[in-house]
Amino acid sequence: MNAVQGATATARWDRDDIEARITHVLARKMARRNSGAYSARSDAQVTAQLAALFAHEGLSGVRISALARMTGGASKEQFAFTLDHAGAAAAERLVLRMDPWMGIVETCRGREAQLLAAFAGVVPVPPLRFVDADGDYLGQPGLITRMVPGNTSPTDIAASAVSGVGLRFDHWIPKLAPQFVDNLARIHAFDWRSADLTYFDAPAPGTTQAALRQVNWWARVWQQDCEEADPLATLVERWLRENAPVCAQPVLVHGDYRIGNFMFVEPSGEFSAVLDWELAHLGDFHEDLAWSVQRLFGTPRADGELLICGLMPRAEFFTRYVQATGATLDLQTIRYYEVFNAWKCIVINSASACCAARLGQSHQDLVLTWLALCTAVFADQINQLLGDDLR
Amino acid sequence: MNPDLDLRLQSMLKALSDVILPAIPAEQSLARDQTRLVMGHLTVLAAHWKHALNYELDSLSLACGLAEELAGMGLERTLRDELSAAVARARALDRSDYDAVSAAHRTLQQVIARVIAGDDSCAPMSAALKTAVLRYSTIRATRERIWHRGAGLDPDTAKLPPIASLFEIRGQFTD
Repeated sequence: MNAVQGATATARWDRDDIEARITHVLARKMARRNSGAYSARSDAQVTAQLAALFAHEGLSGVRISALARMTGGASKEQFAFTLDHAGAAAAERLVLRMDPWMGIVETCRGREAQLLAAFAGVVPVPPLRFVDADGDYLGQPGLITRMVPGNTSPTDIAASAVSGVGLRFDHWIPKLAPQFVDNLARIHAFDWRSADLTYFDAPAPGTTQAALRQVNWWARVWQQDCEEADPLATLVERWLRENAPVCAQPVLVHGDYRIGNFMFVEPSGEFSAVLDWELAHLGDFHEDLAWSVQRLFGTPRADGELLICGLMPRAEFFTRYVQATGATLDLQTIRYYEVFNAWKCIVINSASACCAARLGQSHQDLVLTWLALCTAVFADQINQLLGDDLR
Repeated sequence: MNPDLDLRLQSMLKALSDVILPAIPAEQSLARDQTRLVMGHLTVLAAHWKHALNYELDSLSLACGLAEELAGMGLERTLRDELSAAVARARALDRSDYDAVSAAHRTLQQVIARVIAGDDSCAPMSAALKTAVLRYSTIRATRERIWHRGAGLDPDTAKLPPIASLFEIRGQFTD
């Protein structure tokens, strides 16, 4: 673990080193802050907004039908609908994913669209059809993909989960666990330099910038959304700056690779989509590994051992990843990103979720305040990780 | 009080589960999900309301302990005075007023956070600061996990003791 590169005791942290597009979307969020409460969009509103986007895209004879609201996420408004138009060979079933005024995370649909396009054929992703990165036609930023078959949880196992937390896979594990690792390995091996990722800024290899940019991003969110000061969150932010590891070669980090964010078809168990790319960025591959192993995303096996993302024990996950990638894992860097990810989840659940709910700027304030109830799970994780230093 | 709060909460839950949820069409998934979440929140609230003031009092007391420990760490005088004043106000407030207790806790945590943040220089934090905050946070996180156990989100929910245990062992958590 390296100390701050080039830092001296009297120097100050550069808190503004954040990707340009992230800075933009966070500023956009703040500009909406005094806009009052947000209500779930009606079918008529969504239909009119889709019609405006399709007109801009040059489609004629547009028919939008079978519009249905979807649930499952904690952040975006999602609708399934059927699109037919004069130039279409056949009607297609599509999914609209759209920002409310504020969600549990503020992210960029343009970045997400670039990744869906870039990763087509690399890992299973929903095919991208349209994007309105700044909400010029949809009213709010949004993207549209083709509907993908499959589910996020087995249909033969009863589940009651919010945002995927608490799902069980049981006898599906032998089919799903290898794919879970293989797809992550493919994401990290992806040649991002050759892709159209203009909304992304890469951190400098061989420096601590990958880690510090992430700390700056979420420290900015904490500053904007904090509902109640938290001694641990403040302490951890300092610790993360002081202990930022060097990232030798940045990779594409998915950012939310976990239970609930992949779909598979039955009965084969074949992955049909890796979902929710909104937190993706260029950074350290250890960050994704440390995200997947968080306790909240785990499911205890009958013998009490925690299966990460309900799929496999932690050690097996790391072993499989090394076998798939040939990477060398730095356990100290894993630990650093476990602390970072738990802190980021505190920012998301304790600050942004409660702030959005207090302002009434999401279509599902109730989900946000519910998820905020798990903040202490992340705090407990940090206490255990950093407590090792004290023993 | 008749009907008492428990009875009214119980009636709301029954109406939601027996009448309202079954009446929502399956395709209205957002409405169905949110109805279930209302039921979840009401169940957690039913377990909370009797203890809410004591929980906030203990949270405040715990924060006072941390503030006093930090005040002894050679802080810059203005900050130390601000910390001491916040603790003094917290100790003197009306302990039967939930809103006042809650507000004092928030204020105290803000001052504590400023102490922990330091002057934003790259100078490393002291081991004493880290130790004090982690000791506080370990107790706080344990209390919060017990407090919110009814939500069932904690992967170790089954191992957490009931909420009432927080107040049976108050001396272990607070001064």
